[in-house]
Amino acid sequence: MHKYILKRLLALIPVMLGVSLIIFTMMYFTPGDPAAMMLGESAPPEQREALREELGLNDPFWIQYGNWLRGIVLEGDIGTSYTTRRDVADEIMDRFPATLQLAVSGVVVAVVLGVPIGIISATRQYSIFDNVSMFVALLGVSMPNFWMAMLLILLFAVNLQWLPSSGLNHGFRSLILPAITLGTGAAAIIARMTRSSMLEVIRQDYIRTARAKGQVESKVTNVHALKNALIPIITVIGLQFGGLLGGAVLTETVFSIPGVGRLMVESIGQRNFPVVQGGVLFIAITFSLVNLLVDILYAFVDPRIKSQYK
Amino acid sequence: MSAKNLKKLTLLLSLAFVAILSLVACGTTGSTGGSDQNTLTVAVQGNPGNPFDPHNSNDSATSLLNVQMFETLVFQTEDLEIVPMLAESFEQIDDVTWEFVIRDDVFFHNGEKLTVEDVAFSLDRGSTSNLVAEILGMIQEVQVIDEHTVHIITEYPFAPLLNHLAHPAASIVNKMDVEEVEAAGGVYGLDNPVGTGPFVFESFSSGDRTVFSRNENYWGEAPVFEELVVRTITDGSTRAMALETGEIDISLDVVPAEVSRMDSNPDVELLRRANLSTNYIGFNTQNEYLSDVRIRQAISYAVDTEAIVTHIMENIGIPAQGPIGPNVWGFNENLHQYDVDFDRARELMAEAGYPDGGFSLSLWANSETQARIDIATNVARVLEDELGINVTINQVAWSEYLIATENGEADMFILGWGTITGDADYGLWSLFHSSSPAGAGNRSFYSNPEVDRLLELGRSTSGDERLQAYLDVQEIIVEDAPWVFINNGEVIAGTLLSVQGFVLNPTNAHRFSNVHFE
Repeated sequence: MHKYILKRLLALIPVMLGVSLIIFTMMYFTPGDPAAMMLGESAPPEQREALREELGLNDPFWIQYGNWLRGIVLEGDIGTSYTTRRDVADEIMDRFPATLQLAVSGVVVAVVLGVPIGIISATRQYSIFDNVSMFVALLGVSMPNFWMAMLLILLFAVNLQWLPSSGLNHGFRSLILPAITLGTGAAAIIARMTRSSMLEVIRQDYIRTARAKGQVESKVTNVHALKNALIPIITVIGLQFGGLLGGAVLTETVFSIPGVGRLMVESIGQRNFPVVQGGVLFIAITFSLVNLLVDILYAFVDPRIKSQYK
Repeated sequence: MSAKNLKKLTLLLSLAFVAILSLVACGTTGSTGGSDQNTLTVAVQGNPGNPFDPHNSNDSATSLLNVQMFETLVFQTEDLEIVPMLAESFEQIDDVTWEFVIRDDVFFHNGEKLTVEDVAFSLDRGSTSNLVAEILGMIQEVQVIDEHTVHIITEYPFAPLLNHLAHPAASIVNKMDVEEVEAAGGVYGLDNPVGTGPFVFESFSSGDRTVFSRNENYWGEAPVFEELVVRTITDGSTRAMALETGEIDISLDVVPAEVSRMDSNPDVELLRRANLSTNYIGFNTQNEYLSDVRIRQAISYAVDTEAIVTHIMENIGIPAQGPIGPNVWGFNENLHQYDVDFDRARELMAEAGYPDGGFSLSLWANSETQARIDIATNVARVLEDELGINVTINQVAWSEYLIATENGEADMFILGWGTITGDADYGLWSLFHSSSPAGAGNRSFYSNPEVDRLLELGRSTSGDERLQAYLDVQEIIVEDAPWVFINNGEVIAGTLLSVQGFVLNPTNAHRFSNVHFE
C-alpha cells in the first residue's frame, strides 16, 4: 500500500510537468499584454516596452518557460504576481482556506442530502418518493448556482435577516448559505449516482441470499447493498470535492468569499500570468491528491481492490 | 431502508456536518459592520490590484485605500478646490518653479516627523515611476531650500501642477521607511505602509478586506470612529444587499441595476454626484473614410446620445456636450451640439461623396463592459439603416482592446476617460495633442496644429488667457469631431441612514475620516 501511494505520488511529477507546459503555452498565446493591463489606457509605448522587458515578457517562449520551471524546481518559487508583487504562493494560500471551507461544507451538504435520497429512491423504485426526488435532483443539477444563491440571500439574509449575506466573517453562520448553494447541485448528482449504483446491487444474488437467510431489511440495504454500491458513489463525491477545491467562482462571487476561484478569474482578466500558472498547478495537485485519496478509500471499501495495490 | 434507520443515518450525517463546519469555521470572527458605531464598514467592487505604494499603484481600488493612509502637499476638495494639506502655503515663483512651505506638526504612523527630505524623496520617486508618470512625469527636480521649504521645478511650464500634486500618486511617504524596505530587497507597501493620514494600516486580506485603525496622533481632526474596514464585494447585487442587511455602512460603486431599488429603500440614502469622466466613440482619423471630417460629423448627427443615456446607461450621467464634463475646470458650456438630425447627416455624407454610404467600418468594444457592447449594437444598426454604412462589431478582452486601438486596427472604438485632476489639461492633452502617442490616449490619431498651439498655451499661461485657450480648443475639437461625445458619468454610493458626513468625491478618492454616526 505504501509503495502504491509513493508510486502514485511520483507519477504526479510528469503529470504536473504536462500541466505546467499546457497552461504556460495557453497563457503565452492568449491575446493581450500584461504590461498594457498594468499601465492602463494612458501609457506611452516606451513605458510599456520597459515594463515588458522588466517582467521578462520579451524573452522567447522556451526561455520564459525554462526560467519559470527553474524557479519552481530550484528555489521552490512559483513566481511573483505582476500586479500586487506578492509571492504567488502567498496569494494562493491566502485564498485557499476560504475555498477549503466552502468545498468541505458543500460536500457535506451534498452527501447528507444526496446519499439518503439515492438509497431511498433505489429501495422504493418508481414510488412517489423516487419520482419526486429524482425530479428535484434534476432540478438541482439544472438550476444555476448564482440564481439559487441570490434567492437564498434574498430570503434568509434580506427578508428574514437570519444569516449574513456575504463574506466569511460570521463563522459557521456565514457558511450555511454558500454550502447549501454548492451542496444542492452536487447532492443531485450524488443522489442519482447512489440510486443507480444501489439499483444494480440490490438485484444481485447475494442480496437475495441475505434476505433468504432472514436478515432484516435495513441491514440488507445499509450493510450488504450500500457497501458494495459505494465505489461509484465515492468516485463521484471525490470528483465533486476535487472540483470544488478548484474554486467555485460564481458562488464565491455572489457571497463575496475570497476564494481561489475568484483569484483565478481576476488574474486571467488581468493577464496576470504567474498567478494563473501557479493557481492551475496548485489546483491540479489538489485534484490529483483528492483522486489518490479516493483510490485509497476504495481499498478500505473493497478488499479485492486492496490486493491490487502493490 | 427502514424509516428508523434513515432517521439515524440523517442524524449522524447532520452531526458530522455541524462538527466539520464548526471546525473549519473556527477562527473567523470579526467586525460585523452596520450596528457597531466604532467601526465604519465600506464595500467597494475592486480588489486592490497593487501594493499600498502610492508611487507604484494606479488602480482605483488601491488608490481609494491609499488616500486613507497617505496625504499630499495640497488637497483637492469634493468641490474640486485646491487647499493646503501637508504644505502650509505655496506659491509659483516663475514659469517652472513652485515653492512649498511644509507643516511643522505632522508625524508619520511610525512616529517619524515629516521633513522636507521626505517630500523631495517622494516626489522624485513618483516622477520616475512608470505607473504614475502621467501624473508626476513633468517634475524635473525637487530642491530642498531650508528645513521647511522645497522648490519643485518642472521640465516645462506646467500650469495645472497643483492639481497633479493633489492626486494620490503625489502622496508623501516616509523616506527612511521606504529605503529600509527596499534596501532589504522587499517591495514597499506589501506589509506595513506608513503615511501621515487619519488612518493607520492594520491588515490586508486579499479579495476580502483591508482594515485600518484611527491615527491617534493625527495632525488634523481625527476620525470619531476607531476602525475603518474596506471590504471587496465584487458583485453589485451582493453589495446592495449587504447594505440593506446592515452588514456594511457605505456601499460604493453602486451599479445601475440597483439604483432604483436602493432609491426606494427608506433605510438607505442614495448619493449621486457627477464625476469627471466622458464616455465616447472614438474615430480613427487616419481611416480612409473617417479622415473626412464630414463623415465624422455625419455619424455624430446620427448617434442619439440622449437615447443611449436613457436606455443603455439607465439614466446614469448626462449626455456629453464636448470632450470634458461640466465640472472639469475650463469646461465650455456653449459648444455646438450634434443633436440627432438624419437629414443633415445624409447631406454631409453626400457632400463627402457617399450619398448612400456603401462602405464598411469596424466598431470595437471591450467585452467586459456590457454597456459598450449595447452602444455598439445600437450605433451599428443606426449607421446601417440611416447612412448605409456597413458596421462590423468587434468584441475583445480589455488587454487586447488597448493594443488594437493603439495600433489603429479599430476604425471606431468605445472608450471612457476620467479627467481625474479636474483640470482641462489632463482631459485634453493626452487625447488630442498631436505629440501624444495613441497608447497615452490619442487613439484617434488626431492632429490639428491650432489645437496643439492652444493646448500648449493652456499649459504655460494662467488666469483668463488660460481659460480662453481651453474654451477655444473645445470648440475646434467639437467641430473636428474626432469623437462622438456620449455621456459624462456619475459616482453613486448608498449609505445607511445612520451614516452622516460622508461626501462623494468626483475624483473617486473618497475620504472617510469625516464620517460620524447618528
